Amino acid sequence: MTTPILQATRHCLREARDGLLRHPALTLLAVLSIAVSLYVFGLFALFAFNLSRLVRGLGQELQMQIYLDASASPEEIRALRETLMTDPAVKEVRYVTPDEARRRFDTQFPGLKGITGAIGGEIFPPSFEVIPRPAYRDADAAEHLARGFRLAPGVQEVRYDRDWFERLKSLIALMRGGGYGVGTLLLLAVMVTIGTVVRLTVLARREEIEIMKLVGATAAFIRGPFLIGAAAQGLLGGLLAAGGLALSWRLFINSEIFRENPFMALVAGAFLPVGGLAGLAIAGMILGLLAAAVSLHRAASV
Amino acid sequence: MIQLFHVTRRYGPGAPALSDVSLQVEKGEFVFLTGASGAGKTTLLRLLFRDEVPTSGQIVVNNENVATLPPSRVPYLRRQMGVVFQDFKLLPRKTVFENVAYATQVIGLSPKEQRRRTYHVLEMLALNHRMHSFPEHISGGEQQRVAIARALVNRPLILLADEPTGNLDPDLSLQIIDVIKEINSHGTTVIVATHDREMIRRMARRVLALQQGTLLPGGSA
Repeated sequence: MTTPILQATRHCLREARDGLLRHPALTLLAVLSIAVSLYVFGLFALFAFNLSRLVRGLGQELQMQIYLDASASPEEIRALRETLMTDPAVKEVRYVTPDEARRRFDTQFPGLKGITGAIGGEIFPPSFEVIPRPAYRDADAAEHLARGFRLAPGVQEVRYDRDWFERLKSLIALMRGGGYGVGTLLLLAVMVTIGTVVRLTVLARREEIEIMKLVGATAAFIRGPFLIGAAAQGLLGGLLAAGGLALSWRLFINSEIFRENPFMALVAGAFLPVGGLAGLAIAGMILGLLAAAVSLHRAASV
Repeated sequence: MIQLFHVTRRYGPGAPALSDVSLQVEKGEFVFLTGASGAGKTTLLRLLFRDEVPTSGQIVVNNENVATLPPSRVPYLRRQMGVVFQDFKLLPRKTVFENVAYATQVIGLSPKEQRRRTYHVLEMLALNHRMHSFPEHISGGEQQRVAIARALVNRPLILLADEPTGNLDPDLSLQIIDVIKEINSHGTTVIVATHDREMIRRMARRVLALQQGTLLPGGSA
């Protein structure tokens, strides 16, 4: 037995299909406009994705030094190591003995090799090198972590490159801000495109809508086909954008420009994950729905 | 069935399209609404099927206050009514059958019931031989009968007709009025807006006369 809901769904799907096929040029224009907008958005997302990977990579180099008192007892050192290893903010801990510190200094500054011997005494205290987890690689989190260990028994000093953390933080904020700004503009462009197409379709079918209202059609019955049609256009545009993006990235990484510029590998070396591509298509669909809902409200008052 | 209490409808700062109109139409009654162009006939009909809302006053249709009806309830009010216009308002891309069946589809009838009712009403209006034709291929009288069929297919309690014979020659006009009379004889309340004095005279039904938005004395119930 056909339920009213199933019937209404069939009606909406059939009318949406007919609506899209009735104005093929308009439909094609809409799908292509959406595809171009989402493609540009996808390019930006790809760039942001690669930049984010780059920043994550740079973040791996961030570390913190916890210098210990020369008089720190083995128990204190063991206890501190335990604390560090169980701290959720800490990804990796490495103990550096005074001898190892001296060796490093000599390797890094061979011209000053004699100085360490001339000064005498223990000028290289034992220390822990701490690499924070990615989520804790910003200035605030690093400072919070450092503050916690400054007061620990046996600790002489905690050091980290605050400027480096700050720069990284600014870069990430800039990327996010720029990303949100450009992304919002592009998504608005998609919405305006779909909204315009829906408005044109509503105008073209104004008479039909008027008759539907006249015979007692509910708003959902009238809006349904337009919403489904717009979602389908958005999805199709999104899929085209995702396909176009994959294809153009593939062509780009095989191009001479890419091979001859190592910098390109940093900003475009990796492609978006499958989820990102699916997200592009789904974003198109959701934007289509939203734009259609707004347009219908304005154009048809239904 | 239909009651208007001091209904006024203004579109702007000028004279109102309807001014302080009060009237009553009984269940099963056939009423003519007459007046010159711009007298307010169409406005009154539009108020009845809630295409517009009154500036002031109350409208009660089948015990429902149309003026205060929430938008979500409007489709259900309209399902109690059939509306016919002078310009037919048929969908050119749909056949006669599809135009009529469309109204049954909108209210969610099963496909079987849609077909059954559509065939029945087309037969009643002697249109079954035209069911596969498109509106542009049939005469004006037939187009108006299709519009009436669409208005009737959901078995409305009220039929509102706005100048239903305005585009038709006198013979076809008589045919259409006969159809509407027949519908009325089955209990449907009918309001026909027209300025065709000859038709009104021949039919001898109650007349509500509007002049510049005001109901003339004796026109009210």
